[in-house]
Amino acid sequence: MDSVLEIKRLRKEYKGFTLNDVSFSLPEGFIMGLIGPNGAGKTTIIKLVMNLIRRNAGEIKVFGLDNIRSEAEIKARIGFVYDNPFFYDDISLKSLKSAIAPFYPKWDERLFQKLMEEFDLPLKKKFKTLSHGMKMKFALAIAMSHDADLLILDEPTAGLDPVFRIELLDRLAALMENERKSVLFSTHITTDLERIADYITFIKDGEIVFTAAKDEILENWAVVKTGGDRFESDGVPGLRGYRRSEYGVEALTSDAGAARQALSRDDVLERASLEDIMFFMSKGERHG
Amino acid sequence: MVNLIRKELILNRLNILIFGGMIAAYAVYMPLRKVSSGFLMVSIGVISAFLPISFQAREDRFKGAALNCSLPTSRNQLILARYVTGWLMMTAGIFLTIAILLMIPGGLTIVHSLLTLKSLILWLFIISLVFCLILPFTMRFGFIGVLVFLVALQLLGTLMLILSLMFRGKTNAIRALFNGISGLVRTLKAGLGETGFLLLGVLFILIMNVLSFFISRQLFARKDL
Amino acid sequence: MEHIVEIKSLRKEYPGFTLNDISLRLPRGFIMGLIGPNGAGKTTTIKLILNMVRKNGGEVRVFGLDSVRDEKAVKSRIGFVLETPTFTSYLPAGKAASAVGKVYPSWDEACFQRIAGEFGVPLKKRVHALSRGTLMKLAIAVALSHGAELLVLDEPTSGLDPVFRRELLERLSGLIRDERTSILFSTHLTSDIERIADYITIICGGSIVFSGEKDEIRENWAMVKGDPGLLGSGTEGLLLGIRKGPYGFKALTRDAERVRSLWGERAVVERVSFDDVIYFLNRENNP
Repeated sequence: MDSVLEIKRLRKEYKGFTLNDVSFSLPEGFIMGLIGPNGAGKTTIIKLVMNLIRRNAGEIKVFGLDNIRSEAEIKARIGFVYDNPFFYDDISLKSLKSAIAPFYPKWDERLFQKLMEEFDLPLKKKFKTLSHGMKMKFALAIAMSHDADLLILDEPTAGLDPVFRIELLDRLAALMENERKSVLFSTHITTDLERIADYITFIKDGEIVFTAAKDEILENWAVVKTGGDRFESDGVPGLRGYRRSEYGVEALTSDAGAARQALSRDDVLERASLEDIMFFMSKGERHG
Repeated sequence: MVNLIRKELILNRLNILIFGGMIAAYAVYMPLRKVSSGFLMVSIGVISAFLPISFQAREDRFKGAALNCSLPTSRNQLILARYVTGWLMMTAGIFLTIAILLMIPGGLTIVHSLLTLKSLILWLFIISLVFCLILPFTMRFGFIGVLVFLVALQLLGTLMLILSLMFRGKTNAIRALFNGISGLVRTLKAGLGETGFLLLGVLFILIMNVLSFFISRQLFARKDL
Repeated sequence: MEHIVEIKSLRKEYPGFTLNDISLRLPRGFIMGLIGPNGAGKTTTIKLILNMVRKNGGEVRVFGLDSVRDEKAVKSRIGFVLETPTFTSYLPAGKAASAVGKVYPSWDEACFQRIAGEFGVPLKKRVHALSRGTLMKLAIAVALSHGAELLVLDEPTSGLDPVFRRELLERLSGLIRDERTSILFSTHLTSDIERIADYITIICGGSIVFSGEKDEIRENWAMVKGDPGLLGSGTEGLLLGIRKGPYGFKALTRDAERVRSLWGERAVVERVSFDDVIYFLNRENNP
């Protein structure tokens, strides 16, 4: 299976933060979610892929091509939505489209018009008059109107109500059904990922914690709930983090199978949600 | 390139209209006040040069660089387009001025004095100077940087004035500098002859633009957005 | 049971939008989540409770007092956070917060300093330099620092990363354990509701669609999936926001039992997420 996006040992240094040795791949035809706490490096990775910032080391290949050497060629096939859509405030949507569309050889005007109608976006209005949700919808309409093979979305659903989020996710899912498209999107909202992502990459403090198929993660990671006195950090196989509360200890394990064997009768083992994973790995006391 | 130019024009439509209006107003107003053609060239030249600079300022304001750099194009192309569009705008400014002058009473004489090779080259020189200097500056420091630059220039001018007053009669470095430059220009003119001197002027304009372009390109290529 | 908030037939008219016949009750010592699509009326409801806008009809009682007549008494016991916290932007965060806080008779500066420290808010930094998430943390710290009996929060988790969000929610749910404090909050992030709300009020298109215990939704509401052939006259009102797709239809029901007895094995009846609840209710409202 070909990878539509291949990142190898990517490194970016800032004062006070370093993205370090990041590697992961997105196979063609799938959706990958990038999750991690604020400041973990999600947006940095996306900016590096789009060459908005310069990398210090490593390799980025999109559609098998180097993302810097074949920059223009690659970008003609990428649809992008950033968490703060950067369009000129005082220009109408129609004019914005006229300025941008000609850059894409596969621009589909009819599709764009259809999307604008479905999203209920008035073409004549100026960009600044739009609410945040509508701005995101406009950016999305543009990103989806030139038959892009890869959609890159940075926090597309932040601050938006469930109705819009579900619509967006449905659209993405529909896109995937019809053709060989791929999607990379970063988000805080782990429930969105649980809904449609095929692959998940978790980043923390500039490093990859894991990158794997979602189903695999949800199968293998679990939360063990046990009494405070019974808990021993060696006693939980695959322990990744734990927390004490007044009710006992909650421990995250990446080896649910082995943990299940090690349980005693009063312990409870539950499937870990993506949010649980993020939470315990960020805040829990680390093991080992 | 066409796409890039079109994009610049669409996104900065209002500025083009406003600056166009200012140029037209000057072109109408100045002959009425019997202003010298030299003054007209400088003022309209400066306004024209600031039009493409305002494109850069707008891009800063709306963080349009992120959008521009995400489009299927390269940073070098983006910068080249800014310079090309800039020159398109500035030459359009010249044409506009002349067109308006032709239409108003008293304008014809000014047009005559403007339409000499010498005047045109001088005009282009003035425009280039402003454009080539300030565009990379705006790119590096943003629009605020330009304001800072202009204010700094004012302060420098005031400082020079004070200094010249203080050192009146004594060895005046600034006066010496000016005399030096005008002396050099005169020597060149005498040495090269009229045509040769004009060619030198054109060469200088080209060099300024090329240098400015390369500097802008470097600045932009490195910029983390 | 004493109700800390009692709203009866509340009404507010705007040009183009009307909040109509809103009634809800929040018992003391519990948490209520207010959810609904954008523009449904959540923020308006909250503003009406805080008497920031004038109602056109109905009654709002807080702590048994009328929210308009006894405004001052009511407000001194409420800690609130609005979607965009307003602090004087040029002041350092600590000073700006204290300025607001001192308006409350039971303001506890030491408590505020402590909570702000725990939240990691840089109190010396000027307000305009704070990120949205940090600003929210500041506002929440203020709301928690004057012994308020009722916390009213409008989208408190917006802009916060999931880790801090969970911590905040845990802290909020810890607060009510004293059985004195109650919390009313609106949110887009329905996972917040799943985590800590006892009661839920769903507002859609300016009206209340549901107001009651979260468990009721958990037990009786469901997602129904089946063949379009099943749809007929018997399903009027039972299935909400019906969506037909290439694989069949999907709809929300408020009466899972009845659907099961109607169709048995022929339809899939499964647990519905709150996101989907809002999605389908919105669909039902805006066909």
